[in-house]
Amino acid sequence: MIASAASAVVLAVLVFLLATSDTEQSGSVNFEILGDVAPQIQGPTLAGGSYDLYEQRGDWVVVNFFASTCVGGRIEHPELVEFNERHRNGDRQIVGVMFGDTENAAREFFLELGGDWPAMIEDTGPIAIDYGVTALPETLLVAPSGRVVQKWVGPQGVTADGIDAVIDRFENPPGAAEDAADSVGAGESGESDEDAGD
Amino acid sequence: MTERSGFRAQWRWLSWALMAIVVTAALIVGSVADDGIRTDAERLTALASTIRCPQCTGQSVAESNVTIAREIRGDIRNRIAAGETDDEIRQVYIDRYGRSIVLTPDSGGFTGLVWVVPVVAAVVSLAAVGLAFRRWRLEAEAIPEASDADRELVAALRRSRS
Amino acid sequence: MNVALGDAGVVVAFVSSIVAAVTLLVAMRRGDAGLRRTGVRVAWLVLAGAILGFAALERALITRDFSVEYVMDHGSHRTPPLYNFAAAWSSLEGSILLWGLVLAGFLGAMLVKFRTRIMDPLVTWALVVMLGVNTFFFGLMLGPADPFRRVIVPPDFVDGPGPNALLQNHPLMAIHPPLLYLGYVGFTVPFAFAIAALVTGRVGEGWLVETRRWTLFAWGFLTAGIVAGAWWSYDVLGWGGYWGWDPVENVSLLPWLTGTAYLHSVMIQERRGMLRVWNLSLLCATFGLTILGTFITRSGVIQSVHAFSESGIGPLFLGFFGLVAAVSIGLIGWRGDRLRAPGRIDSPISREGSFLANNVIFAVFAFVVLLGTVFPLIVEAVQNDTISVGTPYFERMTMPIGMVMLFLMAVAPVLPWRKASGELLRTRLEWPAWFGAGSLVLAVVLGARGLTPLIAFALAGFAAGAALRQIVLATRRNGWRGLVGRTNGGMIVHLGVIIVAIAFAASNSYLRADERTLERGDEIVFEDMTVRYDGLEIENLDEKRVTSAIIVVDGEILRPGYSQFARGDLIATPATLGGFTRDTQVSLTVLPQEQDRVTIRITTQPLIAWLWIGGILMAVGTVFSAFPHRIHRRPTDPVSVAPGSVNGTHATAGPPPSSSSEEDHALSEVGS
Repeated sequence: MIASAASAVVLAVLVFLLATSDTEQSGSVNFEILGDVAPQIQGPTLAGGSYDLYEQRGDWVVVNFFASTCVGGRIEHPELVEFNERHRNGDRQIVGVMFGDTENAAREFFLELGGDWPAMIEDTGPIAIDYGVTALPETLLVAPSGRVVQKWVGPQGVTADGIDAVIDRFENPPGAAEDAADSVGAGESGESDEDAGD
Repeated sequence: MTERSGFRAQWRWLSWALMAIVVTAALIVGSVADDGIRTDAERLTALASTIRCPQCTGQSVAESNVTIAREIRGDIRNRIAAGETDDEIRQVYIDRYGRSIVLTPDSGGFTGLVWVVPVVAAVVSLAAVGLAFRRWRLEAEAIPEASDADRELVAALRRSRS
Repeated sequence: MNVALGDAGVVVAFVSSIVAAVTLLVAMRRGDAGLRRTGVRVAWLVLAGAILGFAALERALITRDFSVEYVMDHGSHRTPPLYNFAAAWSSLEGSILLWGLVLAGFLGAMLVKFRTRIMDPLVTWALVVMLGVNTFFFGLMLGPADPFRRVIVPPDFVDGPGPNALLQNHPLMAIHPPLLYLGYVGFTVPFAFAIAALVTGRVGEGWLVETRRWTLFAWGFLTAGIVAGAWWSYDVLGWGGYWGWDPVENVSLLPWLTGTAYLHSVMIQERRGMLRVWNLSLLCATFGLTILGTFITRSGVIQSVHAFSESGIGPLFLGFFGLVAAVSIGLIGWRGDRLRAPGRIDSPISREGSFLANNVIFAVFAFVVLLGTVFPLIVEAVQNDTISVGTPYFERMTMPIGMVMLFLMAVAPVLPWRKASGELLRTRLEWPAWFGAGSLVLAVVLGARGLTPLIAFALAGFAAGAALRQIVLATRRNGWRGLVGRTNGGMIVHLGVIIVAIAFAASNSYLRADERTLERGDEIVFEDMTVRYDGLEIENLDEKRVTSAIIVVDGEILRPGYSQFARGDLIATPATLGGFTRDTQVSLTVLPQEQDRVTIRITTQPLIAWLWIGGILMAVGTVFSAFPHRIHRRPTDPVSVAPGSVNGTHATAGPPPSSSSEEDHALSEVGS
């Protein structure tokens, strides 16, 4: 009798557990990096120059991991081009990190879709791992203090307006704390669909 | 007959004793001669098998061939060559991707239950079986010896059935 | 046309199963023989409907009738005939239809086999349960899993995508689901009888024994299905893996474990009328686990590489599982008093004792696998955190369990019934133990190292020795008949299991892998083999374009490649160099972009071939095991004390227990 009751309880718990679990999408995206100091990105670029992330302290940097083969990257690219134009002489910049691609393919990608921001091409594997990249495209926002404050997975939310809105919110948060860049605040939801622009 | 079976019984004891020696010796040779040094490639395979592919469900980075998995394998290879320990390498990935990147569940905290509960279940069930045997033995001992009346009853049943 | 036929088939099957079940129930209540026969005739319509439905789907696929949504989603002109036929079960709706067909087939088999006994309430109840399960599955097909939805074919439509590319590159993939289903569904029959026995209260008879051959049949196919799946994984995946402890794989293992335990434990019930609760629980658990397994596979609740379809069907399966569990536990609890056996197990060191230990071990094994599989869900529910439970966990937990099982396999066959003395054990186990010691020494001599695999080899040798001893004794006594029949066939199955266990231990412990980039003409050394890259080869077929690299390993040419399908899938095909003692696999990690350089993955593992050999031996042993006895037992002969009778006047069919006198036996019955 005890055995019957015990097994009934266990099975009821199992059924309840299975009934209340969501069927989620594959590949859990992680946001471990939010709040951490952005790992260094340094090396030669596609255009032939060199780039060092730590030298960009004081600016907002949008780090965009991409590959010419991934569809999401093609969708968001025009938006990044616009963002780049808008802030050409400002304190908001983009650096691209090519991942899992060949230099030629990346070059053609930029030729086709435009954009002239620095794109890292060498030894990008360790950079991707340092940033906890799971799938492409992924875009991160590094604050002037050097910390990562936002992460977008996929092209959703990666629009010129969207990125600007997020940066603006950090710079002028409701509540006027000065070190907005150091707070992790709204970073937990990977996809920002705020274009309550201005 | 007794003498012969006595001889055989002795021989059997010797046989088992000899077997014990052979088995122990073989096990010692087999486990000690394995100096435990693994090549880098073996370490890579072993470590990569415990790290989940971040992009693909249900595969380790040793199994998956998507870009990130290959990159991670390459990264692990470099770290092994640079002298990092297995735990250090695992920690790097936990820091970057979260605890779920490692396919071996934590042994502490709530997650540790997954290790403990089966052991407890096994111990409990074996104990239950042991108790059942004890109960049966006590029941058997509580049965009185067969009396003559009992034997008569059995004999009578046998006669009636044949 | 096809849609109409298919729908008709499903509707006929669904309605007939309900009508037949109701008719039989009413007939039983009224004691009406004519109505009973009518019910049986209606039950035949279920099979007819199922065949019609399945034939309609195949017809639609074969004629590429794209007005059927299923064909639109999974059919193509380019798919080769075998895979096109198999496309019927390549996706959710079709696979449910296949399940329904097999289920209806088993129903038909029941109707034939038990046609002279349908007046027996036990048989009637079993049929009712079977019809109930049929109703559920065909009901699914009328709702969420409908394979016969109509769709408008757009005017510029050229061709469908065909089944998923992974399902098209190996013939084993075509046969793996039908084998599995014959296994899963086959367990429904003994389950139906178990429920019938509980409901009618007639748990003391040989009915569960009668259905043993059905269970064996189902078990054999489930084993074959699992081995086929492992073989396919190995041939296709490219890293030498054949079992990944993936949730879907795990849930196919669970009913296998409880089914194996049942097949052993039922021998105790046959012989001594004991362990009835265990047997009924194991049977109900086996059937329940097949439903739970289907739920987990199709609902996407747990992430898996196998989950290729998600739909609203999950909750229905979960509900059905809950129903099965509730009914089983309820009935077993209710009938608890009748199930208590009058006898007891005298000593742990006896055949009965070892089988009881066997039940416990298998139950623990199944518990570990189930816990590990659902644990991420538990953690998420309790702590809202994501963790992974993967191969390292399962290997570490199941390894000691496997060792204990090998030990039991070695000792149990020599144990007599009731009680064994130390002397007897020392005598009977001597040769098997020497066989084990010899295996260990041989392994060490051949270069095997590491305490864990060596212990495994020693225990495997020990178990093999015991099985061989049994076979040798039996053939010496009975000639060729010493190879067939339950015990001897079982020993052959054991040998198969042992060979698989050795292969498992060896291939996991001594796997060597590496990843290298080769220039054309380069030769490298991997382990003790030379590997050279000779260039690329491109082949354009109807349904795919295959790019292969020519890799020469120790003089043998291997062609690992990548297949690009029209629908966009890109699938890697590894190349295997197989052998009796060792397998080497080479695969490409990326589609090669240039001719002069290629990156390959090379793995080598010992004794992989033994996995398949062992699997085949298990199948052969199962067939041998089903061989009929010389003395044909009538199933209605009671094999144990009928419930409620006190004086123990009963007849036992079959030979008396071997190591106790008849008188002792009778006296102990009287005494209780």
